[in-house]
Amino acid sequence: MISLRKCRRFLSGSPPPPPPGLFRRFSGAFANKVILLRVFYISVLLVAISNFDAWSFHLASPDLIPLWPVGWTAYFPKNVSVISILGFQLATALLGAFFFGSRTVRILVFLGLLEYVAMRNSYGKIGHSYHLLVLLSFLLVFLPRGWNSASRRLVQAKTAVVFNACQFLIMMSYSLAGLGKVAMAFYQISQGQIHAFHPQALSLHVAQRLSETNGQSPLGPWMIDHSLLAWPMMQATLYLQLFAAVIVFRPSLQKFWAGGLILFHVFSFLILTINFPFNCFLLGLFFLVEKQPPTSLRRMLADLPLFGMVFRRMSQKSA
Amino acid sequence: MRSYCRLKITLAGFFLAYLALALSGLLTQNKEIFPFYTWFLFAAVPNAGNHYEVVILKNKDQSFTPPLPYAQAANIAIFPQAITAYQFIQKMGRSHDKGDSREFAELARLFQRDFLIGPTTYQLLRIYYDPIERWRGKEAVPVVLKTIETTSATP
Repeated sequence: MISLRKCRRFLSGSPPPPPPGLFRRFSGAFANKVILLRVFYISVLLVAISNFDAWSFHLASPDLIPLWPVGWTAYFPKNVSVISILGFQLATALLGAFFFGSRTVRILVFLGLLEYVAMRNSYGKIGHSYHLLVLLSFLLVFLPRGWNSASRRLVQAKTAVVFNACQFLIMMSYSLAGLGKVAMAFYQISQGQIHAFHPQALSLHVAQRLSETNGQSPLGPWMIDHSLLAWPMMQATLYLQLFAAVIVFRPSLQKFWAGGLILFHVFSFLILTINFPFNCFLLGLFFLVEKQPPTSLRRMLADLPLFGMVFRRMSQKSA
Repeated sequence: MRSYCRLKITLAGFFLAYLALALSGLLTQNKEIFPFYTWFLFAAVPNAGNHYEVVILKNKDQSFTPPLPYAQAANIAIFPQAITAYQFIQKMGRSHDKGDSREFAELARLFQRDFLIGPTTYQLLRIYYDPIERWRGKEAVPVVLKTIETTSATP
């Protein structure tokens, strides 16, 4: 437990002293978190309903190459399996929208999503648009009894911990993406290849992607022809992704970082035609709408990973 | 208070397990133990090198001269512009170059089943190119690796 606390303190950089009236604010923030978590369960219902159009595709498509959660489908006729999974996900999503307070219902919602997303990805290749939704629904199983109407401090604190774990999961996915790019960059440098820090990196990604898919993107061709202008975007993306998990421990930067990552997704679509709408929604839900204490530009600069140290020293000197 | 600490430790354990499973997943065929993904998307910058392509020669009664690239083959390809199709073709090409004929035959069967509509004759090509030069229209010389003719749902 002590090491967990040490870890949190290390990642939070130099947290400011707690403001007066902290506990009163905590209660207000808690009420906000409860609303956001309810919205999460409505969004699961939205997934079920917005995928009605895909039912005919799933029924007409060839046999599944099942991932492990839908391995049981091998023992049943395909249509029975597909209808069972789609029906189960819809039913559990409906239950979740009304009875999200019950842990049993939240477990069912998780299972419904797990089965549905596993089936979507059982056609020989795994896509990743819905992974976070599945994993978040799993984490939310750990919400304490009475979380949505709690007045006890302990229940509020436990709810806040689960909420923060959800935030960490979202940001960890970006940090892993950044880590993969940086690690591979060092490997490619050692091989004498063009790497993620190279000015041509983004142009190469775009050219390759558009050739692969014969895609038409609004900004892609321009990015290929202006690799020097694309370079800062690539480096900013690396910075945003790599340190995303640290931001969970630095509230002053959360909205800014989430906004940056949403912009990253917007440009990913405009440049590479890659769309992650649910990630944008989750970033908005868990970071943009989340109630944060007021902050200042100086605080934000001081909290910046890597560069914050410089700003902290500068403000110490001026003080 | 003890339950609060237990919850924190459980959640920390979840994240450690996630990392362990995600990294172990890299050793599997799918590169992932669903749903624990490493998120190593676009990690490697594409350099000049070998790439694989499928071109359609014939579909049902219709012949194509010059051959039609898969990514442009609407009505023949199930997912013409999907990255999944591109990645599957790369897998087929690598399997062919490895000389694993059993794996290649299985991949070709799945390709016909999941990515093509109707009986099709197609070629698997290997092309060496630089992505940016290719985008700018520089022609790369393809090497035909295999011509595959399918008459029914599976080759």
